[in-house]
Amino acid sequence: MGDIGIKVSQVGYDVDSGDKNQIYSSGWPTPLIETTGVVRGVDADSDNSIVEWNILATHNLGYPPLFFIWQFGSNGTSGETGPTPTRILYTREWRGSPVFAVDSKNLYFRAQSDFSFTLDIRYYITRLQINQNFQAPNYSLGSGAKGGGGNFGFKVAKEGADINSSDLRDFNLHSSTRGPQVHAVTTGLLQPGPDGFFHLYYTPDLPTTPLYMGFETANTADDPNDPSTKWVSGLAFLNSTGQIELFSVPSGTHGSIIVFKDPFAPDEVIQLSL
Amino acid sequence: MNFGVKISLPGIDVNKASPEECAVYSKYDTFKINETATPPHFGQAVITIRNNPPRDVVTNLYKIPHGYSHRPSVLSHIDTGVINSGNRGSIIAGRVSSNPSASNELDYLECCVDDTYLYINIRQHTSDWTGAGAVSLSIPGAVYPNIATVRFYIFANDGSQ
Repeated sequence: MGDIGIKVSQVGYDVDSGDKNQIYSSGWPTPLIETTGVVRGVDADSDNSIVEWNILATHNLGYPPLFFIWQFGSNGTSGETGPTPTRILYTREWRGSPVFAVDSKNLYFRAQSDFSFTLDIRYYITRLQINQNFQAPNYSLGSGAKGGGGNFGFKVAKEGADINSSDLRDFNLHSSTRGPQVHAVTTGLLQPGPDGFFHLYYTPDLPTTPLYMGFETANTADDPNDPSTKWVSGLAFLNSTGQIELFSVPSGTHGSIIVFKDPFAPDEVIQLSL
Repeated sequence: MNFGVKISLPGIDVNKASPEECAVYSKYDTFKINETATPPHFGQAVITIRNNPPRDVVTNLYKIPHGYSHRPSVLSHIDTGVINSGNRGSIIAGRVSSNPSASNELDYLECCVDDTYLYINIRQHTSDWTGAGAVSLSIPGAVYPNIATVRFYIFANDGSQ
């Protein structure tokens, strides 16, 4: 096979103007949505002692997939008033938040040990495998300027949906949109560091600071290839040396760092001050 | 019906490729950010915190209409700008608190949506918290201004019902 593939640029950009301007490219996988659903009003820990895993959804993909959780409203402990917003939930950052996990069959949730909460969330389960390494080539920013372009592109409607619909939810693909594309998946056993904790690193050699997420096995000594091993959201962050770092307290956990090519940091900056 | 678009990853025969071996596979939905929306549905807000934020109130820093008739989902990446224990509080999250060991309800920088708007809000609790691992927005003695960054991406995909 030769160097063949396909790429689609943003409206107004030359298709050869650089990887940053691509909305689809055969070089980077787009996380496909396997299923989504809403769970509202589930009292997940009414007696403050239930910490077992509960099945939230069954996917049966045969591998642990990347998932996202959006939470409605607050955790309900501060007496906040006003509209109940929706925000993406980072599940390992705070005590009191529910913990979510996937294995090769299901998406799960459980309470943290001594906190209660009401589960009000939307979940998305994708078809991206988080316990298998993947590495795409480095991408380029390109130098092409937006040239105006015309009304062209492509769209693929969902089965039964009108191809002329103005609702973007009616399309599986639409060239007037862009979304996450995966640059790398790095997995491995977290290694001890001088701080006494355990770490997995990914060093991005990229022209921009990418978005990233981290997962780790729920228990020490879990086999990362065992279909029943649960993977929970991990604490991944950008450290002071520019590495993406997955941090864990217990030894013996395996981790996974997901690095996204897209979406990029937008070029235009909104300046705010307080 | 058997129609659509399928683009395999490099080195994979498209006729044999599974969905996981494809860069694009139109049978499945994807996350979609409208590139033509005004105001833009992807943005990078740089927030200069010149002094301690107002205490015990939610202060809105940024608010734009998203234009959807439904509540969308928003992916946000928050960098508090504070280096603590050699690390930055820089993660995909809807809300980053100053105290990762406690509830995140009292002290935070957040990005969220409701049925009409996208918001970037800040809330500072009565007292600062300075424990190990904190990613505080206003550590006592910190040099101001502190620069925080919020990247946001509004997906057309449903965020709630």
